[in-house]
Amino acid sequence: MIKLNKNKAFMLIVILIFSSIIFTGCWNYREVEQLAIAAGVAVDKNADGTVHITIEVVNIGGGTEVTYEPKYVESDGDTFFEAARKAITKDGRRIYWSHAKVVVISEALAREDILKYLDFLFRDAEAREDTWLLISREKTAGAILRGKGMLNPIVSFQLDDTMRSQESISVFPFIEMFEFFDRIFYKQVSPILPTVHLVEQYSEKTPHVGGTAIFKGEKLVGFLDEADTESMLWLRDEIKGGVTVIKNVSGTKDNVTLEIFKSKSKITPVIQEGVLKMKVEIDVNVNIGEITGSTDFISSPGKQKLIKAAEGQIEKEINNVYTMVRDKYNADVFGFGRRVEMKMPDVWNQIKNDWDKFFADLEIEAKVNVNIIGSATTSMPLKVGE
Amino acid sequence: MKKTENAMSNLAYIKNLFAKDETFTFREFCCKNDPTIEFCIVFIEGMTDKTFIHDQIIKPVTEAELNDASDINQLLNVLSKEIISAANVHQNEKLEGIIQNLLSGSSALFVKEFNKAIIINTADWEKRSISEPESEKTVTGPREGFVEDINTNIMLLRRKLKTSKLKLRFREIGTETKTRVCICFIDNIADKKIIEEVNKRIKKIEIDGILDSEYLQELIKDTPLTPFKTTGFTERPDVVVGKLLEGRVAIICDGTPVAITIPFTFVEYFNVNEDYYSNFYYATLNRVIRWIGFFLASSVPAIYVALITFHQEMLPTQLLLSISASRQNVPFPTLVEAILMLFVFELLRETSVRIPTVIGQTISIVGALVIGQAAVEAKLVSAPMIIVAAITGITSFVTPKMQGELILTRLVFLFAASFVGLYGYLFGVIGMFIHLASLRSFGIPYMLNIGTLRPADAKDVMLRVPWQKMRSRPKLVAQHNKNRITNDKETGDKVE
Repeated sequence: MIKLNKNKAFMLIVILIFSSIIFTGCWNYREVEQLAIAAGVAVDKNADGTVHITIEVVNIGGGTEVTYEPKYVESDGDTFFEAARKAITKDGRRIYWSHAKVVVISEALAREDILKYLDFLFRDAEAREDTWLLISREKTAGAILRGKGMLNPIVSFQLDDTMRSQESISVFPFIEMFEFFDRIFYKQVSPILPTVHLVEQYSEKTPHVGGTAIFKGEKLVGFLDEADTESMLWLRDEIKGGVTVIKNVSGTKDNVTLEIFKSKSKITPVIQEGVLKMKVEIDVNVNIGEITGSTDFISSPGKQKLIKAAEGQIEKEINNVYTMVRDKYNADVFGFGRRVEMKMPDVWNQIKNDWDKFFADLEIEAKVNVNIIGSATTSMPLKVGE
Repeated sequence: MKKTENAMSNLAYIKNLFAKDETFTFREFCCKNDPTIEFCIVFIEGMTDKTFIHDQIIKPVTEAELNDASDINQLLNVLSKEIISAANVHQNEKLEGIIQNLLSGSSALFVKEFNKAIIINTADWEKRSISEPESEKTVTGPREGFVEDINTNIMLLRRKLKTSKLKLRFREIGTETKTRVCICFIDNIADKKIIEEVNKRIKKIEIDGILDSEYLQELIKDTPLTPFKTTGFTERPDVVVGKLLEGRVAIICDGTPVAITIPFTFVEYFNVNEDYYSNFYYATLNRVIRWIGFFLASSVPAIYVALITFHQEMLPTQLLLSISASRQNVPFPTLVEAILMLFVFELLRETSVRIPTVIGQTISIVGALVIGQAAVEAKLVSAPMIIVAAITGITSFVTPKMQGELILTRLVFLFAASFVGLYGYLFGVIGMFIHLASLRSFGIPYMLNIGTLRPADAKDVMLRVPWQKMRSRPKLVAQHNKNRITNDKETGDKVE
């Protein structure tokens, strides 16, 4: 033990306290009204290879009636970070990233190499890792943010709301930024991201999220539409809700909309006759949400017909999407590689380096069990009285 | 001084001493039977009951058949034993004692120039009637409060505690005011060490006068410079009796309706007598509210400033936007704004206490309209800051005994938070806890044994358990007589 006299001990304590205060990472007094709060950012690529970013900043109108309006700050730079800093010179205030909800990435940039441009978001202290990454299907990503929000004037906030209600719609994957980066670093699995495009609504162009962008490593390779996305989500065991429409049930002209309450996809790799296969068993609880005709699907035989039709249709769609993704992109967006690794680590060690090759021939065996747990009404379907 | 004292008789000396004081009355009279026996009764007008003096002293003495005036000692004995019909009579020949008695309202009856006097307690003056204390109102429970007169106050205690174990020890403090102070405790419950300590500290006091028990509280405090109280105070006899039953010591001080209870621990700030008079669920809820109130009153400005100026990422986006919107064009930094608003609040509070009730309304109008609305509209302060100041103000009244302490902790937290955000705020909180844990009230740890908290200790802290379960007294306070319910749990038989 070192002997200190009282004064030295006191000074030491003072120094310890002060250094623990001064040398902490984030202490920075800044007034809240001095911040330009970024709601979202769109990243595009210029023809000369530099980055063009469009930042949607929330512009707060003062006065007695407070208004929030989007304001766009555009900036160019060799890198994302440089462009972001250069934006200060355009706006005067420093852009505050912690409340940014979405990052929209242009297709061209994603096809080239998405990591090259997004390292900043992964590294910066202010940027959050639960930001949404969206792939733009418009010509530029900036166009998405410049679309018109319907309820919320700030497009990025509207996109954020949409992403959060994914579980009741299931037409795009629910992937947060950290999850995407996590997958990118894991070679054998192909990362996916939701896509966004503009639709015309009341003569305004509104961004609309739906569909999936398929990556192979850090490069975008292709897209899935909304229906295919749902089928893909079955295979990823990521269906949490949503509706599925069974068309022309057993030869009638009636469409039945089933509301999904609970779904569990049990995906197990099996080796049958020396060949690796994925066995997919899907248990899904549904409610009859809507019947567009007067056929009786409530009685026991009617119900059986409906179940059969539903199972058949879902199985068919799953198989179609699977074959399409496998043959066209050879991208394991379903995460089958990981399941093999978890269930059969020995097998995985032998094949992991050739997983792409194995995946190209991988068959699935899908079996869907539909349980109708309710019809949402006590009476028969609506029909004209006799 | 000593010389004149010897040269003159006591009566002459008193006459001389109070010659210019017209309230001093020297009534001379003699016995009908034997006019040579001259008497002089001395009393102070206004502090004595004149009818009583006339009916019970002057009249019986003049009409008494006295004839032997040779032995005045004998005569005084006869007078005090047979003739004067007053309840409280004694004889005194010490000049100091006589003057002291006169000044506290007694009358002194002198025979001729004889030094010894009969002291008759004739004190009677206007007293405030017993009423509900303004500062400690309750909805249920007893409504009487202490008054300024120490005898009335002791009477109030005795009425609730009809036991021979209630001990009252009188002391006199103040070289000029000679204030009577009474140390009360219940003999076999209170810890002897604490009583001794109280006696010792009171004995040490050297001061010209005390006008309120706050003088005493400060003079006998363990740590004089801490803002926190280490002695409790109350205006309610039921509270004092409750504390006595828990094994605490009470000090009642003449001239003030505020009694002191010792020892005082931090949790007592949050306990109110009404907790014990209402349903225990409700009482527990109220206690929790008081603790939350303490947290809010001490921390809201600090946390607000920390979040707004350091940790904007911790706020929900919508909240950040609306705060940002209301901060637009406000000229002052958030910290200045906070200090300004807290200052204005304290200003309003102090003014409304000092202002005569008749014009009291002006304050609320000015406060509400000018500060509340006009300042926001003029963009001098932002609306959230008004809300923060209001929350702080309202919650600080949940623990009314803690006003001063709260103002100080609030400011310390606020400054700490404005330097390094929540990090600094936490430094403040840790500092406060270290300080509180280091305090002691008459040897009892101020925070009780917070490090080794057991369920048995917690039943009267944040909770108020039903009376059936409150079988023991606070462990650290009444160390030698812990059981307050002495019958057996199952059988109901009395156990020792």
